[in-house]
Amino acid sequence: MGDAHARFEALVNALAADLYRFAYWLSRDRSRAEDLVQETFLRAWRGLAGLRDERAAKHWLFAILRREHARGFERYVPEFDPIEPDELAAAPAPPVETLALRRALSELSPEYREPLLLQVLGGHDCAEIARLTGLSKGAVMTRLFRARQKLRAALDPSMGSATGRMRS
Amino acid sequence: MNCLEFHRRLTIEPQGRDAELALHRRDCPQCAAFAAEQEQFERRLAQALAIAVPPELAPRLILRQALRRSRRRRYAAAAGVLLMLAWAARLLWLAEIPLEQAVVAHIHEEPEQLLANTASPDEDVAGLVRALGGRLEGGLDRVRYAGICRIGRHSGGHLVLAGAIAPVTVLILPHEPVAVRRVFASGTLHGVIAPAGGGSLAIVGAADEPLDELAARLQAVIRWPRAG
Repeated sequence: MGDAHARFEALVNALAADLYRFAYWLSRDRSRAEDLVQETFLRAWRGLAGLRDERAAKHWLFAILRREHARGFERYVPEFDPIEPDELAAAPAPPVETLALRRALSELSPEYREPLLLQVLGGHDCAEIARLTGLSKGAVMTRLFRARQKLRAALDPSMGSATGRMRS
Repeated sequence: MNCLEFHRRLTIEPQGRDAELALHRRDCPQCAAFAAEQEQFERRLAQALAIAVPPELAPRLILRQALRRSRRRRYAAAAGVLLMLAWAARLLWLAEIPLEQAVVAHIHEEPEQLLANTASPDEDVAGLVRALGGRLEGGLDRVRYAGICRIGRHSGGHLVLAGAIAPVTVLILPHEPVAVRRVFASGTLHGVIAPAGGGSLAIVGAADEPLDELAARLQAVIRWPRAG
């Protein structure tokens, strides 16, 4: 049992921040994000004996969190404020560019945002994202491509259309 | 690989580092510039996604999990204690209540047996009586249910027979001796408890149900070994 506790604590210490950020960008709500992470680790504790390879832990936990979100939280659409209260209090404030990108991320539709989060925060490749989301690998690639195009366009319209220019 | 393919692949998987990509990047200055720009964009994206995490998140998660576990253990322990207390209270209650109440309580605990309408064969009834230490000498018709139950503090036989008015319950209580025949009434029921071997026999039916004839019949066919 002591060993299980140690494994559990190591997982929490290593992955809580990544999971929290994933939960936040899925739900766009801080308290819900924390609840999701708590629920994820509760389920992880119950299934910890089944985790044979610690290297698979991150993907496993992301999959649990994604399922939990889909189960209870996805219908909730909060008001989004890209400027966070604690960041307002802290100095220096994030660059304007970061805030613009956060705004663009929040405005990205979930079908584009989720594969991007799984790739950037979760470290999943296209095949893994396809398995997790039930999409084809081709559909995942299309969504990742478009998600980045939209974000780049939000930062700089000329950057967003750069690839488009290449293709025409 | 052409420039279009390079851009497409790098936009989809900016971490892509395969040989083909590396080769094209080395040979095409425009694509090398695009790749550098893409890397810079990915850094900005990672920075934008890295929202502040609540202070002490990990220790709080660990603490909450530990509290939940210990709460579950406490609930389990408390539930165990409550169960023991309830069982002890039940035993005390059973030890103190009169046999008549225990008989009526058992009938109310198993009301579904009064609805049984499949005839129980004589062999089943004979086996039940034998299991309780007696012997069935002769047939008992109209038996609709025969089973061994915990009745009050001890095991006993539970029979349901078709009565003249409504089903009649017969409880064979080899561990509940009574000195003399007793009659009782409870709500819409009335009953008789009579000595039988080293124990007793309770017969309970609807208020107007004639029980004496059935009691005599039961006492005649269920035989008990003589004491000593």
